[in-house]
Amino acid sequence: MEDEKKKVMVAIDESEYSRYALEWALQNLHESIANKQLLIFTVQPISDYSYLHASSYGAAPPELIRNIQENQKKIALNLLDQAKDLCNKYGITAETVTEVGDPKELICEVVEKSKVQLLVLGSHGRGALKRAFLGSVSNHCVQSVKCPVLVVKKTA
Amino acid sequence: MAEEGVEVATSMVKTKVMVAIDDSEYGQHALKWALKTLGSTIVDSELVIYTARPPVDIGYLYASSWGTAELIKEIKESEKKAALDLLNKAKAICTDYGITAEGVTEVGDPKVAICNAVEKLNIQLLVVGSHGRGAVTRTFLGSVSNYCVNHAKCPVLVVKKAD
Repeated sequence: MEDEKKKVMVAIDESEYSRYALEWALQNLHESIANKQLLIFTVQPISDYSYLHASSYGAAPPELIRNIQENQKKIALNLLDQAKDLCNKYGITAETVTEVGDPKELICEVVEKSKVQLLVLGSHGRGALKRAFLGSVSNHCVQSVKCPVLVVKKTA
Repeated sequence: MAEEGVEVATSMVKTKVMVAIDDSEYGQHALKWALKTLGSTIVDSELVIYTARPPVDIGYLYASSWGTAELIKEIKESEKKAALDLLNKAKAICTDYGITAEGVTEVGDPKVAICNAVEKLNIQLLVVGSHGRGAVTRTFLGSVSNYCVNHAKCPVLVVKKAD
């Protein structure tokens, strides 16, 4: 008997590739996920405030910045709720986590911190270039993360 | 549960999972990890174990012995036998986990052969180790695994061996 339940983490963003990755995992790995802990993770990228400062003559109102951050957080929590609902439809309860920072690094950090045994990612994210075989975050994570990684591709 | 000969008419097609291995420890580890962690999913799917044999480098052989046809044939045969042995050992490991697997081997450049086999056999999930024979400790990901993650048409699961 194992002491802790195995953890599976699905990292998502608002792109359709992530959603497809989550659905694919829920559909095809259902039995394997059902007896493990499912963690859904999304990263709020650090907003670029430089042009904001420039446009307000170097005196960007702190409320505006706070507003932007709050908005990002709301978007992320909304996304996670939608994902949790999707999991419930498959009869799986998932835990959700969000953090602010650089997606590639944070995903790898959380995998180590939470002792994730399997990481599931979409093949591309927001900036889906048709030319790129694999998105930058997925590519980085497959190489650097310490645990097995499942990259779900959306067949055209 | 003896239902092997019975055709069960289900609306869902069985998932086809392929594990690509070579004789490195990473390949073995990938297979065992998949059987252990995804066991419940694999039990309901068709499992194919695949190994690719790179074409025999007979260039120097020609140069050294003015091209003996039998020697070349022997080398090809022994490579094939080694591959089949590898597949049989892998199939035995699967039976330990209560799973029957099919073994397939082909000649060709591993990365390309694996991706082609995925298409040909209509595979839904490809499992590969993170490195192969030439495991350079500096590289994050072996060349074949890297190629497969980028080019295979189906989802790819890269299994890393924890240090």
